[in-house]
Amino acid sequence: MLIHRFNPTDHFRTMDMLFDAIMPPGRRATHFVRKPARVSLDDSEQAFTLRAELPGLKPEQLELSVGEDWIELGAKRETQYPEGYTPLRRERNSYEFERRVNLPKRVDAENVTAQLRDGVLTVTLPKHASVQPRQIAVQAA
Amino acid sequence: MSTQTTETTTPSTKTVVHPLVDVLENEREFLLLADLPGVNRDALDITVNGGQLEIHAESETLEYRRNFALGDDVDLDAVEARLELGELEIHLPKRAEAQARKIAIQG
Repeated sequence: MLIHRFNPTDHFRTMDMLFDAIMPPGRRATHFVRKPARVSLDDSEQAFTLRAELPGLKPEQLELSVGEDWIELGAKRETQYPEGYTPLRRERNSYEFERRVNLPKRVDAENVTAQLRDGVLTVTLPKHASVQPRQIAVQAA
Repeated sequence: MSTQTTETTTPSTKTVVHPLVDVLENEREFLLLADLPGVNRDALDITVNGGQLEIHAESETLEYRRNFALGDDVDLDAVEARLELGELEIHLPKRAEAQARKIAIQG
């Protein structure tokens, strides 16, 4: 479970996701990308993976900090146009945000890795040893 | 340049979305900028056909599709594109005035 603690408009996103889930893909009308910087969190056995869409962002425009059970990311992008052009249509946004994601389990903050590639940030947060599943050897009595 | 919305009937497991774009113009060219996060070069197709510019791209999670109607003033042979940091830049040069006025007389 991912707990957001920031924006009330997230409820609309949740509704969008619910509608997407009940509509079969083929009959859905194509819609526009709703907003920049979409963030998702995956929970696997070994690690959490956070994925954020940050088109046009350079690594130096991104700030990441990680604690025992949270991650914070801040980014700022300004859409700039080359000089001498007249805009005919403008849909892309500049964005600036700070977001804190609380993780449901402890992570090994020392071994967190982050990669920014093709405008997508992927952060891998290995779970702390204390919350990883352990196999118990059963001994014959 | 005007936009057209497309509805896709192709069955795909990925959600199909229209990428967000900016269109700019100066005396020499039109410049189209599109956000395509998660798309690399191999997963990007740009087609110019019958006065239509079509962008099709796929990321791990999404399928991006969008069509644009091009004006007669675009020099289709000189279209150039660049993809960097999930941002696509398409340069659509305008035909030179002289070229536009050249009329071939036959017979």
